[in-house]
Formats: sequence, structure tokens, C-alpha cells
Amino acid sequence: MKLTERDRTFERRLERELRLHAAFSQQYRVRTARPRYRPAAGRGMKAPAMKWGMMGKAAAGLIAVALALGGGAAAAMSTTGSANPIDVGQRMVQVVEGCRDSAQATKCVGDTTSHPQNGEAQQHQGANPHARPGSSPDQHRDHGQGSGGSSAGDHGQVDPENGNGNGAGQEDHGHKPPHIPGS
Amino acid sequence: MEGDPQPVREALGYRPGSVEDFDRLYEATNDRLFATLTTLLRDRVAAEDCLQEVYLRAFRAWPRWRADAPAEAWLHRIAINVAVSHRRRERLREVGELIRRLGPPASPDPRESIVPELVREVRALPSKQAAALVLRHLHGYTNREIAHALGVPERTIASRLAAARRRLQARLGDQRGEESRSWQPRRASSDK
Repeated sequence: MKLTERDRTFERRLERELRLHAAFSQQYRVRTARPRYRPAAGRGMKAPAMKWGMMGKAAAGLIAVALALGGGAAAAMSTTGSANPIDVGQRMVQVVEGCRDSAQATKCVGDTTSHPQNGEAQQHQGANPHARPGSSPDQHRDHGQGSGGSSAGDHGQVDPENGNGNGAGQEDHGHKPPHIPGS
Repeated sequence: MEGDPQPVREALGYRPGSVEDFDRLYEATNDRLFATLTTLLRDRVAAEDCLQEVYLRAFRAWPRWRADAPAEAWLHRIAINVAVSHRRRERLREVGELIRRLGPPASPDPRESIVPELVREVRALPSKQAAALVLRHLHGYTNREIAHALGVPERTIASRLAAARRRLQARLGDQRGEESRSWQPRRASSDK
């Protein structure tokens, strides 16, 4: 097909205007911070091969399940001081029983489980406040301060300014905090 | 490679399935693909969204990419498919809105006012004609390269281009002087 001079002129116009428009659009382009095809792990991560991506997803799923179980166990331990599921069950029954008559039962349960010392005080009046199920008699901790569940090793060196340590710095030094599975 | 007016050739030696090579390909081609999409689609947000969709699809298919085929042409093929699907959805949405409004015409999109008339007419072309036109006149592909990218015979591309040109010439005319045809965005003074 033969192009006339008129066609060529029109094509030049097409090229010029399309390129100008493209340049203009490029100038005002709002770029995506991270391409959508990249895995969520971040731009710097280099996956060795595609098949590892699938395996990575499976591993992430397993880790998520493990963390969920570990988190549940950690929450239970922070509440009851024991990883024994029977203790956890009994403790939950006690908490619910204690809060049943409360005007704000849900809030009461939440407060009691997140601040076990309150529940302890309510539920174990007369008992040794420092006693902890599953711990030896000479082990004790300062109730109300040690529920942070920190795994920081040296509690005596927690930097008070940056707040790291999740309250473990206020624990009775010399005693290890309860081991939290999955932490 | 950014800003290179010529299509990215395969001297770069991309390896199918290599994430690093796909990253390089993204860096080398995303501006050009964005230009294609922003010409074919109405707004830049949709173009950016479709661009990400293109690379997502391409990334999934990357292990199966054949190194003998030009990667950018392959990406363009995906981009045009995505753009065509988007345009179809957009048209359906417009029809739906028209039916909902029962008649009154929509108020014109203010973003359209800064788009040159020629680009508006290119967008109004049938998708396949518009795609061929953009690859030919925006990116400088030859008819053979376009045919390879879109998987159609070269003659088909030639006839699509001729049809597109005829239609545009009829719509736009070419009676104006060469200088007056150069496009100036209406907001150019405030943008610069």
C-alpha cells in the first residue's frame, strides 16, 4: 500500500502528538511504590525460584498456625502462669464465674485476663499473692508487673528510656520470666 | 534503559523464571508500557492499575517465557489484552450508568479537557486498531514486530493501521497548518 505525502504528514503528526501526550502523562505519573508482582516480603528480597514461592507460602502458613498456637499458649500462660491446658481451662472458668454478675461482663473478663493480678486478688483472697501455679515456692515475681511476657534476657539492663523490655525490667531480678513458646 | 526511544531488545539476555531478570525487565519497560496504556485508556490511574496487572500476569507466566521471543513485545501483548478487557468493562459500566440515569448525558470528565483531540480519537478507535497504531507510531515498532507481538499476520497489521489512519484523518482532518497541530495541554502554563 502506497502512502501519499498527505498520509506521511499525518503520520508525523500522530507520532509527535502521541509522544507528547505520553511524555506529559509520564511527568504526572503516580508511580506504585512497589510493583504488585513483588512478594510482600519486600523489594530487596530475592526469591531463588518460583517453586520456592509456593513452598514459602506453605511455610508462612505453618508459621502463622504455630504463632497462633504459641500466642494462645502465651496468653493462657500469662493469665494462669501455667501451660497446662487443664489449668488454663480452670482459670477461664474462674474468670467467667467471677465476672458473671458484673454489670460489664465482657469488660470484666478482658480486664481480668489481661491483668491477671486483679483476678488473682479477687479469686485467691487469702492465698499467698506471690505463689504461682507450677513454680517452686522460692520463685516469686512481682504480680502486676510481670505480665509483659518479655523474652529479653538481661532484665537488669533494660533501657528505661526506650521502653524495651515490656515491663520485664520491673520484674524481680534474678528470676527468669516464664518461657513463652514460639517467642 | 529508561527513556530509550527504541524498543528494548533482547541483548539484555533475560532468563525465564529469574526474579532478578524480571526486575530488570520491569525497570526497563514499565515507562513504555505505561505510555501505551495511558494512550489507550482514559485515565492515568486506570493505566497504572492495568500496568500492575500486566506485570502481575507476566510474572506468573515468566517461567514459561521463551527467550527467543522479545520480552517487551510479549509484555505489550499482555498489556493490550489487559487494556482491551479494561475498555470493555468500562464500556459496560458506562452503559449501566446510562441506563440508570435514563437519558441525561453524563457531565464531561474534567480530565478529558487536557487530553489532545488526537489522543481522544485514538481512544475511540476499535481496540485492535488503536493498539496497532500506538505500537507503530508511539513506540516505533515495525509492522513485523507488531504482528509478532500481537500474534497476527503482518498484512492484518497493515490493514488495521490503514483503517485507523483513514478514520482519524476523516475525524480530525488535516486542513490545519503543521505548526498549529502541535499539541499544547490547556493547563500547560500552570503545570510548568
